Amino acid sequence: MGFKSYVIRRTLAGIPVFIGLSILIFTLARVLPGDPARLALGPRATDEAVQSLRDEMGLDDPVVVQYFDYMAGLLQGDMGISLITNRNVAADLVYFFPATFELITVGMLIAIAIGVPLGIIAGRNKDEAEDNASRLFAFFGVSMPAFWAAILLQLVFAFHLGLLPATGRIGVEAPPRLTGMMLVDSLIAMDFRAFRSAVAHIALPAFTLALAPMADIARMTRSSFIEELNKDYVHALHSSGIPGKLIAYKYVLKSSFAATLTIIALDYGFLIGSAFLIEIVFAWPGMARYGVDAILANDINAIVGVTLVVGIVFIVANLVVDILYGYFDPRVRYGGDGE
Amino acid sequence: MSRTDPILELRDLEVHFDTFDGRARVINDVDITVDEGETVAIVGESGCGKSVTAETIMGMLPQPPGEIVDGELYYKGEELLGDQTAHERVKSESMGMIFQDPMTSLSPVFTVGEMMRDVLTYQGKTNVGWLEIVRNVLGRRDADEAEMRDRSVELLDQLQIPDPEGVLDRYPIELSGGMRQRVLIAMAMLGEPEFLIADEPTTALDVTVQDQILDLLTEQIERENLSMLYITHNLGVARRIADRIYVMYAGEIAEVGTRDEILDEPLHPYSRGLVDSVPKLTEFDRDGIEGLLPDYTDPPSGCRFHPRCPAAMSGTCDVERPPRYELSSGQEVACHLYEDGLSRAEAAEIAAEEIEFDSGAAFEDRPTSEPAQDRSSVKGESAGTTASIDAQTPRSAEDTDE
Repeated sequence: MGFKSYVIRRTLAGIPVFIGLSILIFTLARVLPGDPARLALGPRATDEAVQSLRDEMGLDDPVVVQYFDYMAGLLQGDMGISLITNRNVAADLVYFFPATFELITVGMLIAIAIGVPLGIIAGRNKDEAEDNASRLFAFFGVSMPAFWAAILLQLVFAFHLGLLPATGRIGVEAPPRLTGMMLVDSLIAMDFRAFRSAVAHIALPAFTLALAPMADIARMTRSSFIEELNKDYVHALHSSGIPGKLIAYKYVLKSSFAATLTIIALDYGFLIGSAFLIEIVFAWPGMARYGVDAILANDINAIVGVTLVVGIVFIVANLVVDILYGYFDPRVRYGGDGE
Repeated sequence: MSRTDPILELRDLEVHFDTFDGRARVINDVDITVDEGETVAIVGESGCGKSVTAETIMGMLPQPPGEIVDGELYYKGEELLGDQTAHERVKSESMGMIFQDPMTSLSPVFTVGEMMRDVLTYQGKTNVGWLEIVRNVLGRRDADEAEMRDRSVELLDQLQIPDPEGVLDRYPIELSGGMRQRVLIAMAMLGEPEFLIADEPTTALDVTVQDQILDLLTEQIERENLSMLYITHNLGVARRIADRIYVMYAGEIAEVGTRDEILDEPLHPYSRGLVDSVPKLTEFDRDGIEGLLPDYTDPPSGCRFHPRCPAAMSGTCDVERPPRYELSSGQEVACHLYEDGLSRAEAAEIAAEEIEFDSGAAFEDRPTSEPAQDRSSVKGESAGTTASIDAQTPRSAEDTDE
C-alpha cells in the first residue's frame, strides 16, 4: 500500500468527523437558552413580528429538519443570515476569517521555527546549561497568560522602543483584497511597502500567540529526541561508521518528529481560541470580535458558523498531521488495514 | 601454541557505574587479547559484564553513569582509551559491531538502502558539516550512487538475502527478524572492518535461524579473514564459533583457554557449573549453580565467586583475590585450587576431586559421589550442549552414549 492511498484514506476519514462535529455544534446552538428572534428584534417588537421571524428562520421545525435545511444551505455556501450584521454568515466569515487564519498560521510558523531547534539543542545537551535555559524559557512561555505577554510586548516594542506598531493590520494603503491575508495580498500586488507594513503589524500579535505552543513544541521535541537518542539503532548506526551528528539530525530527528507533530496539530487548533483574546488586545480585525458579539447576541447562525470554522481548522490541522505522520514513519502507513 | 601479534589487547580494565544504590564496581581487572584472524568468545551469565566490556572496546560506554577507572586498550599497538579522537577514528575505520536485537537495531523510518548508502558514504569520517547534513537530508544523490548500490546488493547477496535489490528499497518493518539480522551483519561488513564485535547476535532469533546466521557469519569471517570477539551466554554457540573462550563471572575473568579446554574440561568452579547447567536433550536432569550474581555495589571480598562456590576454602577464597594461574598448556584460571605451571592432567585431577555441585535439579537420580564419574558426565554434558542446537548430528549421539 503506497503513500497515495494512505493520503486518500485519511482524507475520507475526515468526512464523518466533520458530519459528527456539525451535528454536535448545530444541536448545541439550538438548545442555548433565549429566543434568538426576540433578541434580534428587541424587547419592543410585537409577538407577531417575532413569530414571523421564527417562522422565517424555521425555528419551530424539529431540530432534525432544521439541521438538514442548514446542511443543504451550507453545500450551496449559504450559512443563514446573521441577526447582527444582516448579511449571510458565509460572507461575514469570508471577510473575517482570513485575518485570523493569517495570524494563527504565522504564529504557528514562529512557534515551530523557534521551538523545534530549541528542543533539539536542549535534547542534545541534556541537563547542561542549554537545556536548563530552554526549560526556563518553556516554563515562562507556558505559564505567562497570553494577554499579559501581549501588553508587555506592546509596552516594550511599541511604546518604549517604537519599533513596531501596537495595533491594526497595516499602516499604509491596503493592497487589493484577494485572499484577505495582507501578507499574501501585498505580495500578489507586488506592493513591498504594504508587505513590510503588514509584517511589522503581524509581528507582535503572532509572536505573542506563538509563545505557548513554542514552549510545548520545545519540550516535546526535547523529550522525544532524548528518547530516540537512546535507542539501539542509534548505537548500531554509529558503530557502522555514520557520524553522530548525521545520525542525530537525520535519523533521530525524523523518528522523533511524530511526537512534535501531534503537539503542533493540537496547538494549532487551540491557537484559534487564544487568538480571540489576542485579536482584541491588538485590535486585529479577525473573527474574534464577530464571534464574541454573536455569542452575546445569541446570533445562532453566526455562532454555528464561527464554531464550525474553528472545528474545521482542527480537523484539517489533524488531517495534515496524519498525512505527515505517514510521510515520516512508514510504520503508520502500513498500520491499520495494511497488513 | 604459537601466537601471532594481537590485533586487540585490553589490559586491566576497570569500569564503575554510578547508580542510585551507590557506586557499582562492575568490571574488575579484565584482560582480553584477540589475535589476528582469531575468534574469541566471552561467555558468562547475563549481567556479568560482557556487554559493558564490548561497549568499552567500541567506545560506546555511556559516560556517565559509566566510568572507565583504569585500563588500556591497544588496537594494533595503538592505545585508544586515553585518546578519544584516535578511538573514534579506529572504530570508524577498522571496527564493526553486530547487535543483539535485530528488531530495534535498524532505524524504523529509513529504508535499508538509505542506511547502507550512508554507511558507505561516511565510512572513515568522524565528523560532517552542516551543509553536508542538509544536502543529505534533502536526498542528494552522488555520482557513485550506482556503485554503492552494487556493493550493497553484493553484500546482501553474500548473506543469502533473497531479492537484494528489492530489500534495499524496503523498510526494516517489512523484513523478518532473520532478514534484519542479515542486514545488520551486512551493515557491519560494509565498512570493511578488520575486527568485529558480535554481542549475542543470535539470541533474539529462533533456533533454525540462529543456525543459518552463524553459518553466514562464519563464512564472512573466513572470507575476509576477520578477527572477532563474540559475546554469548550460549555455550553451544561458543563451541561452534570460537577458537578461544574467556569465561567471565561478575566482571572478572574466571578462566581462559581454547574452546576444547574450556568446554570439555573446565577448571574454574564457575566454568564447571556453567557447563553443567546446560540443559540436555538426552537426560532429564540439570545441575545448576545455586545463588545469583553478587551486588556490584558491594562485591564479595576475595574471589567474587566464593559465596556460590562448592570448593570455596574459608580463610583463603573470601580473603584473597585469586591471581590468574597459568598452566603449562597456556590455559589460565583464576582460582586458588591451582597454581602456576600445573599440567592439564594434574589440574583436571584437582578439579575432579575438589569441585562438586549439589544438584540443582529436582529430578536428580544420578549418583554423583564418585569424582571419576562426575568427570565423564561433564564430557557428556558438553556434548549435550551441541545437541541443543545440532541435535541430529551423529557425533553428539555417540558422545552421550558412552
